[in-house]
Amino acid sequence: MSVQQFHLAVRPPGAGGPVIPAPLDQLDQLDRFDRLARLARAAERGRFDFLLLAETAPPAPPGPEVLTALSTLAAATTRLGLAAGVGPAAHQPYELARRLASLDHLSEGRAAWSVTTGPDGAAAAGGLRHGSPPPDADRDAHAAEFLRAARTLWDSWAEDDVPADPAEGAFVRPGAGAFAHRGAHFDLAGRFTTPRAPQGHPVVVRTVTAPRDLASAAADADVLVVPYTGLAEARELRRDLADRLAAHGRSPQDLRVLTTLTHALADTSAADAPAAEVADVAGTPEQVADTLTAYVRGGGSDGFLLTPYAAPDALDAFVDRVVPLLQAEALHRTEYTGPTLRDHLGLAQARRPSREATA
Amino acid sequence: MTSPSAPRSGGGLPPLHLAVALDGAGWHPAAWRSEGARPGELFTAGYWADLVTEAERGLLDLVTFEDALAVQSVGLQGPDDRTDQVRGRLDAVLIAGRVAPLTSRIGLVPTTNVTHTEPLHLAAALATLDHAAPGRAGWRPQVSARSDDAAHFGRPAPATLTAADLASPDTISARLAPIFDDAAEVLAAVLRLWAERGHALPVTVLAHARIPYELAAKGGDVAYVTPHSPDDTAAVLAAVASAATAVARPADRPLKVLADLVVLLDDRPGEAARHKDRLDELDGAPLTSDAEVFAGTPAELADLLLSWRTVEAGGLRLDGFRLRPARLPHDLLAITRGLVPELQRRSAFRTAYTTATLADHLALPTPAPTRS
Repeated sequence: MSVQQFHLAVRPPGAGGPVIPAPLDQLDQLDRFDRLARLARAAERGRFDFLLLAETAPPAPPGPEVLTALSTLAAATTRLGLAAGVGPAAHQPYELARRLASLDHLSEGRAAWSVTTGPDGAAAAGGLRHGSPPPDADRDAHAAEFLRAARTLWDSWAEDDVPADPAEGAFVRPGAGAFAHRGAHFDLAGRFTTPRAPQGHPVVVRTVTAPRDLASAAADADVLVVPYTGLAEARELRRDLADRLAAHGRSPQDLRVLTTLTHALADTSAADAPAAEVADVAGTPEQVADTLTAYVRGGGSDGFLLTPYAAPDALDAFVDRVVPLLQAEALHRTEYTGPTLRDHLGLAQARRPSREATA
Repeated sequence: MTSPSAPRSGGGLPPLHLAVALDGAGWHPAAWRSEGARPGELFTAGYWADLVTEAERGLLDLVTFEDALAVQSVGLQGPDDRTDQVRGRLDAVLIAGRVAPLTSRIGLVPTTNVTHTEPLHLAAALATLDHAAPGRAGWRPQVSARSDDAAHFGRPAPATLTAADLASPDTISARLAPIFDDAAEVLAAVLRLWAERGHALPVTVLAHARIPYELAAKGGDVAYVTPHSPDDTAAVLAAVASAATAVARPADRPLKVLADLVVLLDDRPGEAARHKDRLDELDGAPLTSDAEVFAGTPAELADLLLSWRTVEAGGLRLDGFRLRPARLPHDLLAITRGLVPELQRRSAFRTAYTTATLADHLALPTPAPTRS
């Protein structure tokens, strides 16, 4: 099969995404949770790669705590990737790495971490008991080291460290979980509690909001989320990215680029689509499918991160009317080909350095 | 036939509250090697889903999920080199979130550390769990004095326990008094954050001595205690009552008190004790626990529970028990399919859920207590 397939992801409106009419502010939490489950099921029905749920920060209304919510959504879905948008600024590597690894276990390899470095985390950090968030100028370096520390923790158990063999009386291998990380921001050591995750490492997502973000993403991300732009600009960004990846010894195949997208579907023409004036792409399902196809075929990106309207069925329309058109052209999977998010994204399992190398 | 509304069991006491404490392969360190254990599945959602749905089938008030930031060890301080016991855990709040949609009645009570975590994060995670399992979430805050926990966060150890400190729960908690003070602040902060958002989750505290009894009485709804006999139960109840007085807990909001017991249950008399001996032998040492260890038949356990709960001291009785199955899933099944029917026959336990929320299962006063 020579046709390049789309990667599709979705995030609920009102959680770090663009401002969309009819936000969720007025909905009570419980209703929002049901909506989340409905959104996740629709995304899975459309064979999406993942759902991204991000922390909210003031002035947005408080949303669910994302890892707990995603663990619950893991019970409502079987294949959909579950990405947690969490800013390192207000967290600690040991605890967050442990929770992300736990989510990967509990979802059988569907966890991702979207590393957010905007002011959100710092705002939330106003109420921290322990320590203080890094100053703005230091945020990128703090996040990069946080991620390195998390990877050290995820690598602290080998795949075969839990033989759980009653006959031999061996539950665990000696030294499993031993780790040490020392850097400008963190000096941590001990034994990590959580055995190696099904994906090795949860998928790491980075979002480009400023040119400097490209540098971080090229170094350590599996998925890069970029804003919707004209095709020429998108291709320029990818060329820039390819150079930066090469500088880190990585190839464009090691990173998926997803473009954020709002869309409006109409029955007959773009003009009759609801909220067409604020959507990135508007038109009939055929028109939207053609636009997206041209964008991916033209080298703009590997796929899209959709933010649907706040209506409960907003993604259903895309799944029912646009996805089949993409599938008919073999541009989008009709079935998941593997159980893990890395499988969906066509990314290799995170490899673990040998114990000697990590010691 | 017992009607669910029949409120009194023998002796005119209300029905028992029953909780089960879930931890790894069970509370015996060699449990993962016992027959029926599922040691290769401890880190999977399916394992936890099976345990919690079984507990709900048994109409239990709640399950607790053990957790700790540090890897398990035999001693209190730091990791060890044992490879023949269960090591490794998943986050308890996430396990509870994962099983929430698979259950509809049972209370889900994860343990979290409160020494190194942030009240903001704890409050949000537990409030989210309470939406995933509407009205069914609870919380068991846990302090940590371990130096390895601190090192995981790049922080100095909050306290160092000397050999003399380890003499008794009272001397341990006296040394750790600053950590308990800190925990009380975290509890208050979390309760404040919940109150701002209209939440009130039941807070449950495991306590062995005066300082933690006071923490439970100040910020909690339920205390798990560890008496070893009827006489000891009287002493513990008196101490809890005195702690409640010391922190000026309102008299109309009595703390619920559940006694913890590690249990091995088999139907034939003597069989559970033989199994325990076998596991002790595999582990190289007799099972020791902060809680009393019971090995016997479900009927014998029912006798013990109903006898201990007649003890009264300081105006308090045991409201029920939190059973720690020594072997999972074996002893959980013995509880839900052996002990529960036995207690039902004696009109001492519900025959159906008649309430929908954890607070109502536990008959906690509403609205939630105001705590300062």
